[in-house]
Amino acid sequence: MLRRDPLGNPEELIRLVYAYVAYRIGDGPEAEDVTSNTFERAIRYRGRYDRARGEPIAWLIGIARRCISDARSLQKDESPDGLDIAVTRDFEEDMIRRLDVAAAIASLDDRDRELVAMRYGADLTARQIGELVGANTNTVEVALHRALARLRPLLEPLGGGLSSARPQNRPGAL
Amino acid sequence: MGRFWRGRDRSKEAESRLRADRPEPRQELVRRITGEIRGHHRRFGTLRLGIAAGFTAMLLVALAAFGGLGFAASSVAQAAKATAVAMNIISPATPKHFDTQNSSARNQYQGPEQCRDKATEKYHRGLQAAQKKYKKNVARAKTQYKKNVARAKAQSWKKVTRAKAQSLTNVAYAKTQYKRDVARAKTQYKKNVAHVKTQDKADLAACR
Repeated sequence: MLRRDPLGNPEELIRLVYAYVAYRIGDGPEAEDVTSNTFERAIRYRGRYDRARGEPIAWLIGIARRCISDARSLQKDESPDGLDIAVTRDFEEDMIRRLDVAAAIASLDDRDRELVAMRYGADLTARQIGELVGANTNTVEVALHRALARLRPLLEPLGGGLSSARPQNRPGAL
Repeated sequence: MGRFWRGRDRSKEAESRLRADRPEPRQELVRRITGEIRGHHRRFGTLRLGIAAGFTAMLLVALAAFGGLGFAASSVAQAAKATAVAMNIISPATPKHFDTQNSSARNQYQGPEQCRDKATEKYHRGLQAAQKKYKKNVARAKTQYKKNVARAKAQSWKKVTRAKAQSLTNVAYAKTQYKRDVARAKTQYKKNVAHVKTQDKADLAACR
C-alpha cells in the first residue's frame, strides 16, 4: 500500500512553518535557518511519519519546536531586539503593519507566543495544539483567548493602517 | 449586550490581522527548500527503480542458470505447434528415418569419436560457467560503482548546503541594513503624520 507523502505540498507547508517560527523567534535569518533545519529533519525522517497520528503540518510543527529549542540552546539572544523584517513586499504600509504585529507578538510571554504562533502562524486547530503541547483543547482555547485579549490593545491603534491616519468624520469639522 | 458583541468583533479583527500580517518567507527560501524536497524525491525514486530492476535481473539470472528461460521458450513453442496442429494449419511431424546416430545401443559402447564429443561438451560447459561468473563479477562491480557515486554525490550536496548557508549569512547582513532603513522610515512617517495633524488642527481653528 502506498503511504501519503507528508511533504507532498511543500510550498504551503514552508509558508506555515516559517510563519510559526517567525512568530516564535522573530522574522529574519534565524527563522530561515530554523525553517531549513526543520525541513532537513523532515526529509530525513519522512519515512517515520504516521498519518494516523496527525496532519503533516502538526508533525512539522513538532519538529520545528525541537529545532527552535536546539537553536536557542546553541545561541542565546544573539539579536538584540529579536525582530527582523523579511524582504517580501516593497510597500511601506505593509511593512509597518507587519512590524506592529511582530512587536505585539514579541510583547507576549513565551507560552502565549507559542500558542499564538501555532494558531495564527501555522493555522493549527486548538485540538492539534493541545496534542502538541500536552494540554486539553479547552485549556488551549482559554489560553488563546487570554493571549488575544492581551494582543488586542496593541493591535488596535493602527488597525486601519495608513488610510485611517486622518479620521473621516470629525466632530465640528466643516 | 452590545459590549459583548463589540468585544467579539474586536477579537475577530485581531485574529484576522494576525493571520493576514503573518511573516512570509522569502521566495528564495521557499524555492531552495522545495528544490531539496523534490531532489530527494527524485533520488529515492531512482533508487527504488534501481532496486526493482536489480531484483528483476537477479530473477532472470537465476532462471537462466537453471534453464528456466529455455524451458519456458520451448514450452511456448510446443504450445504454438500443438495449436497449429489442432487447427490443421500444419501436419504433425512424422519421422522420415530412424536415427541410428543417437541410439541407446550406441551410447553404451563408446568409440574415440564419442569421447571427443564428450570432451567438447565439457569444454563448452566450462566456457558457459566462466561467462556466467564474469557477468556476475561485472554486475557486482557496477553495484559498487553506483554506491561510490551516490556517496560522492551526497558529499557534494553537503558542500552545496554549506555554501548556501554562507550566502544566507550575507543576506542576513543586507536584511539587517534594510531593517534599520525601514525603522528610520517608520519614525519619519510618524513625525510627518504628527506634523500634518498639528497643521490640520491649526487650519481648523483658523476656519472657526
